[in-house]
Amino acid sequence: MSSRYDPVIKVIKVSDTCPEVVFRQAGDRFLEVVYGRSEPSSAKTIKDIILRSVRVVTINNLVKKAGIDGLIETIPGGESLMYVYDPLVVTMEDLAEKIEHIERQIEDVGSQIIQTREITIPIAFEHSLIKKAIDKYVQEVNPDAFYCRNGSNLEFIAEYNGISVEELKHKFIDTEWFVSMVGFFPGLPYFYPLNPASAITCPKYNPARTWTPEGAVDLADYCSTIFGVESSGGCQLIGRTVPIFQAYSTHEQFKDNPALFRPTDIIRFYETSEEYIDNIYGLVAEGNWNYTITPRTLSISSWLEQYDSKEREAAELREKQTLARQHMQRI
Amino acid sequence: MAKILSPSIQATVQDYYGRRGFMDIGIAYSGFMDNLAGRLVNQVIGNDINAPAIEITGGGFEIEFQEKSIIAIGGSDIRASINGNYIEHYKAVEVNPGDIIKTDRISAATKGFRQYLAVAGGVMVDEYLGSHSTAVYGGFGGFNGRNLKAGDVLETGIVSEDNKASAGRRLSRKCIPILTDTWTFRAVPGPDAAPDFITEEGMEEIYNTEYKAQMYCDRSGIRLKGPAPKWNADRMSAGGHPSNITDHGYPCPGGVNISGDTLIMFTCESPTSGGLICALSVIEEDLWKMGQIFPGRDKIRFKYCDVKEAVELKKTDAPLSFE
Repeated sequence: MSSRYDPVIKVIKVSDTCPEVVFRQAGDRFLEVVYGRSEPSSAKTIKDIILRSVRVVTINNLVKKAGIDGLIETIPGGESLMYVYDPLVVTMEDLAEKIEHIERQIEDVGSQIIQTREITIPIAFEHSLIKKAIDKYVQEVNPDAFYCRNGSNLEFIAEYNGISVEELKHKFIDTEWFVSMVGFFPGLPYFYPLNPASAITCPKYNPARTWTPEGAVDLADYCSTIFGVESSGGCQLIGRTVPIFQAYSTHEQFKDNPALFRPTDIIRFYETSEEYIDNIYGLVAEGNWNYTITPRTLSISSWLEQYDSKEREAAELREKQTLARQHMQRI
Repeated sequence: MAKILSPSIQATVQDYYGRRGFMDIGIAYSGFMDNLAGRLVNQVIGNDINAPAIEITGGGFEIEFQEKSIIAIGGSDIRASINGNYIEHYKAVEVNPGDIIKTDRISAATKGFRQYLAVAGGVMVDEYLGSHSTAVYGGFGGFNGRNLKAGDVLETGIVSEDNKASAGRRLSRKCIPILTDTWTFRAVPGPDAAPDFITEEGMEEIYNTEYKAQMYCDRSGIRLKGPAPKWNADRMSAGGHPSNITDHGYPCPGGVNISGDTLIMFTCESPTSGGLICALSVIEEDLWKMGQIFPGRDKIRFKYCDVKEAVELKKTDAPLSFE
């Protein structure tokens, strides 16, 4: 450590294609391992983030298999793993050494073939609970929120990306989404578009929202999430989907795990109405709605080829985004 | 059985360890906000340290016992009474059917903010994912997954021989946690400190500033009022707010999160992950103090601690003594 305020205890390089692996002390019983050193999100592409996330999942599985004494639990992040450990059983230095050994076994994740699941769920872009959350925010938290217009954030997001609201909905539906992690509040998945032509983005709320309904879908900084339970939240609201978390299961799907999603899941959305979504809440409570879940193989090398083949469309979107932001800054 | 007559600002059923091992699906530990007082009241009456107890927030709590039991109350210095007669804190007291335990209202002179009421055998609620504690943000665990309300009837445990033997004893004065209105938290820098996120001087400033607890404090976090952090210049110019990073797992509880320019101390029911940095992390031995911070009034300081020093502290376990 160069100074007593520098928490980085070790930086290793495992290959030319993997960003540097940074070991950070994170408390008296936490150690965080991060890929890359503090680059802002704007310096990374969706490709970088998804590849790092695949690495996180790969390493997490190996760590779990290794059964390290004193390791209590891990929390996967988009490009990091937080290790929670008992320092009376394993020291930070010994834990870091064991993790380094595992990190060095994986030079690259570009050839990984992931056995995962594809989960298809409906979304209603217009929903009265979403409108309620936005109206509540404007009334109680930020009356001048320029991103809230007529009880909706869609117009702002579209404008920020230089596209129409219809195009925004189309782009949201027209991609598969990759779940990189689950967290924040119970069951909430974080997911990124696998298709770079759907890489829509926008800034977060400032300050945060105090209430978000269950099932809300929101987006900021290229990342989307779904709310498993009612809670606070900070991203722009897109619409509402079906229940994704059930603590006391009345539905078979939640019998072994209260959370629907896990890292590497692939999500597909289809558009529907508010009534259709609300009806599903009743059916899930009775245990009577079928979640559409199919086994799926995700080959990282074929995905990278597809990603590159979308480059022309992706570049068009990026250009629209740049122009839109310049225009918004002027006004 | 015992019936809640008045639940205070917020009363919940919690336990010592909480719900561990589910942070990767967004489930925080929950459990006693002041895990020291919660553990001590259980020990006073001869319960297991993890026996479910009632966490009381502020004052004005009232409960009527419907059967014989043994209880102890501790935590903030708000006075508690049985049928109008004050009882000592951290003392094992016998209760009879019809007895009403009541706590005074908070006042400007109150030290601490939460109290724990332990009952012989614990409060009987179902276990969910390995714990009896209430997850207020999620609506599960504890008593019907929610805050207690007036009229709720709680089932209390069987009075064991250990419980009976404890009757009348009181924790020695030297074992009782010291309450204040200016709290010092020993904290380790990281994971996101100097030089990558905050400047060296900025970290120095965090460790030398007296912060004030905002009114907006609850089981999910304690917001502090103080100067804006001194951000690393490269991050300032990168676009977006410098506190924003790619979403990561949070060191919970203990992490000191920075949201915009506001420091938030992460407690037992904070978010498990998110896209904001954590500049420092409170050591395990000082977590209990978070439960006693009086919102809008108490002052908070951070004291530098390194990992080795923090681990040494865990090896010294002072035995309890009773009077």
